[in-house]
Amino acid sequence: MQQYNTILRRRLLPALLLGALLTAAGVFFAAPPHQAAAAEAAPPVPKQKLVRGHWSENPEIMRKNHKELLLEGMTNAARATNRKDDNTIERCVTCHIVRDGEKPVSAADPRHFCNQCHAKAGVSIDCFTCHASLPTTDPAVMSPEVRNADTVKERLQQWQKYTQEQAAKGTGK
Amino acid sequence: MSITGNKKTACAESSCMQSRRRFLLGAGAILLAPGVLLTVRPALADETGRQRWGLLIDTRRCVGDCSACVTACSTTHGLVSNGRPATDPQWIRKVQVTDPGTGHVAHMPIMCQHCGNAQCVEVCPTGASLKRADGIVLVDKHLCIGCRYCVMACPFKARGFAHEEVENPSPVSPRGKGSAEGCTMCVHRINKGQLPACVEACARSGHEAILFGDLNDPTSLIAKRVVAFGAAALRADLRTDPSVRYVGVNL
Repeated sequence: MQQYNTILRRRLLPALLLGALLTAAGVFFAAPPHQAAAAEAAPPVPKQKLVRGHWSENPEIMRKNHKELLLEGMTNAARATNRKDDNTIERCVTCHIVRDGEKPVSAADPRHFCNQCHAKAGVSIDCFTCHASLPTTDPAVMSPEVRNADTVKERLQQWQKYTQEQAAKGTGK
Repeated sequence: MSITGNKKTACAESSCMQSRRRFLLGAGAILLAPGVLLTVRPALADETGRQRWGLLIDTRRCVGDCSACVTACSTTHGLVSNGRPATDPQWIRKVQVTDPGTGHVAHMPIMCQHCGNAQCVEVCPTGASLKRADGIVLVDKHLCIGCRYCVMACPFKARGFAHEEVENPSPVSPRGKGSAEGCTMCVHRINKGQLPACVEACARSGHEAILFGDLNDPTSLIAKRVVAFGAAALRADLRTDPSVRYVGVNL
């Protein structure tokens, strides 16, 4: 017993003290004052608040929230019989087209819309191993007005108009 | 196994489910414990399980040298052949059956049978293999780990596996290497109120051998014909209760 007490006093206690000191130092140096100041200067974007239909006006919200929106669409995709088409990745690539001359580029190209940020952020996405990265030319999914609109905002407006028309047709049946 | 017997069982189950749902809806929110409320999302019109989409295949109208349904399926879902028949994707197979006694030959397409008692759903370890409220059996490819249990469990060889990279996936039917897959009964078209691609192609080819409709609606053409013709289920002895039924063959 005497032996164990000696070991405790000589080895374990100094080790514990050192550990506590290092933890305290870590906590102190982890958040230097200049970072805290930067956070105050630029207020954080509310991450949990999902705003729909306004991302062309406020891209910052979409930059933060697109993962949650896609996840929501993803979990409903197969199971919901009343699936709504507003959170589909298909819709992203329909409006966010990057053209090489006349032809839209696919996800294999670094200029593709999704690649522009993900390459910089070092995020590798595997959405396009299964999903189409090119806008569809199927007239049932996409009208020529959507396809030929020049800006993202214009495409979105055309898309909304198109889907409303489709919905009106559906109810008329 | 009689069709009517099956239908009765299915109806009894669905009405039971509906009454339970109605009870939950009526309750609105249930008090689990002091301060903890379980709120119930209101059921939507088409999530009540009232519908059960099915196909009725009239083998007397199906001809051997026509493959309109197979081609339409491949085009719609972007199923491209890589020249390797053992692993190429195929969601509909044309099968020729001969009665050894009479020599009667029949041709029929075989796709996912969208079983009421789906074995692929039973064996799936991740819940990727699923049955929708309207009876359509699908693979949630975000959850599929590619174990292929469902491929082995399916008695109809209807579940396939994507063995190779997909270069240009169809926008309406995302599919990629390493995931189980099969006939979706063209959910993307059904959701829009259109017919499945194979049904449309068969009608366009002039054969009209495939009929699509709601098996749970006794006034629908498919339900009437199932009753009138005594449409048979493939491997009825397994009691999987398929939504795809066949007329004109003794199975």
